[in-house]
Amino acid sequence: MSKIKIKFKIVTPEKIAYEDEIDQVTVPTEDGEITILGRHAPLVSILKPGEMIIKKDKETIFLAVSTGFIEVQPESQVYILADTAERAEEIDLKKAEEARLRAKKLLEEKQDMADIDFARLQAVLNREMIRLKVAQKYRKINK
Amino acid sequence: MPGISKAIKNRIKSVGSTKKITKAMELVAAAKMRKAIISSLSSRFYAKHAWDLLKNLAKEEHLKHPLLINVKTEKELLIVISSNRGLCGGYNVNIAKTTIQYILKNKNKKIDLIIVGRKGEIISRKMKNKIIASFVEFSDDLKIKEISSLTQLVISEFTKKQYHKISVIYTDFISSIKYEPKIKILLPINKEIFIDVIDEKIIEKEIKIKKAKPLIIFEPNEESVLDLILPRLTEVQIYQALLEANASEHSARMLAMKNASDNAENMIKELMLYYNQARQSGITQEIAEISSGAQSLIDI
Repeated sequence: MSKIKIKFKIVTPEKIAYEDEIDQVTVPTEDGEITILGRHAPLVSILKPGEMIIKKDKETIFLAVSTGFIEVQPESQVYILADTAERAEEIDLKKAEEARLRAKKLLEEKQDMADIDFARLQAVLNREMIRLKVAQKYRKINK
Repeated sequence: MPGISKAIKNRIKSVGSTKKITKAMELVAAAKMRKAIISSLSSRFYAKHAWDLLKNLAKEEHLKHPLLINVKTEKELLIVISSNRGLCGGYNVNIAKTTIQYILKNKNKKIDLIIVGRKGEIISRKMKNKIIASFVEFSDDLKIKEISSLTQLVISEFTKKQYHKISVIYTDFISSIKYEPKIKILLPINKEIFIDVIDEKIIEKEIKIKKAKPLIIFEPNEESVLDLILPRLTEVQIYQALLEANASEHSARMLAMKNASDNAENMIKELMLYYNQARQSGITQEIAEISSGAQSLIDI
């Protein structure tokens, strides 16, 4: 029996990051990871920065996503509205590491600053760590 | 007549250097426009999907959230998006005109304003509406983070139940030669509003297709999802309006500067003609003087 394909789209404010018909997708949400297959019930949930795994035929695609939303519409359509989404192979490891260190340093320097700034920096640090993790994992698999 | 031809020559020079400036501004505006168009087009998809999501949520009538519910006051809030700099043709004038028309049409309501861009302040000179905030620091290369101050203000004003409707007036970018002022309702998010603000360009048909849908599941729960999604999607709509306005501004400026350069070119041509005429008449006169002088010598 062939699987039901999902019409899948990741949209970020800059571009459509990914668009394809896929078999299944695993996304990190506030409540933990969820995997969506075809004919999922309508669902709206909040994305957490993390790693998204898309399975298409025999191919597995890794992406690093940051905060956003996932919307599952009837008839196997899945939309993700994310602030950023990058394919693992697009992430420049060196740059990601630099960005993480920079964010961490800023965070350490400014322990006493306003809550909002602090929260924002923490979010940046989180995102950079996820990017690094996803990229490293992908490279390990493909070696 | 060396005096006149000298004056004309100076004039040609000054028009020529003005033309150089307007030409340069045209090129700069063209480059900026290209960038602005790319960013507004690319985020249009995001805005469209965000809008779709809002639309789907608005269909669920049982949902209760402060941003979804009508408030009973007679006050309205308008966000007017104009530019910081001038020299862009009728761009700011059109925005001001639309705003003033809207205010006059809704005289019975009390309308407050939020102004984006320095040039929007001309409205305050003509109308007596209260301006609750003015934003002038948005850059050309706008990032969504920059507008959080504006979004937070809008949302907090609405949740304080100050206004029953919040709309935005911006210039919608249709193509690089066509753009027009548009009024879009931002809040509250409910059915009636969708009917008049739906983005005709992309989703005209979709509203007609209404199917019975199973209830949407919210994870972790309805309240926290809506708390996060609604402000965020409102922000996206404001962001998109700003991007469209930015693209329109640059193309308006490009067009205005192109017209200015063309006019300068015509002016130079005309002045050149006068200059040659003056030069020619000067020569003719000199010859006449010489020949009459020679004639008088022969006569003696």
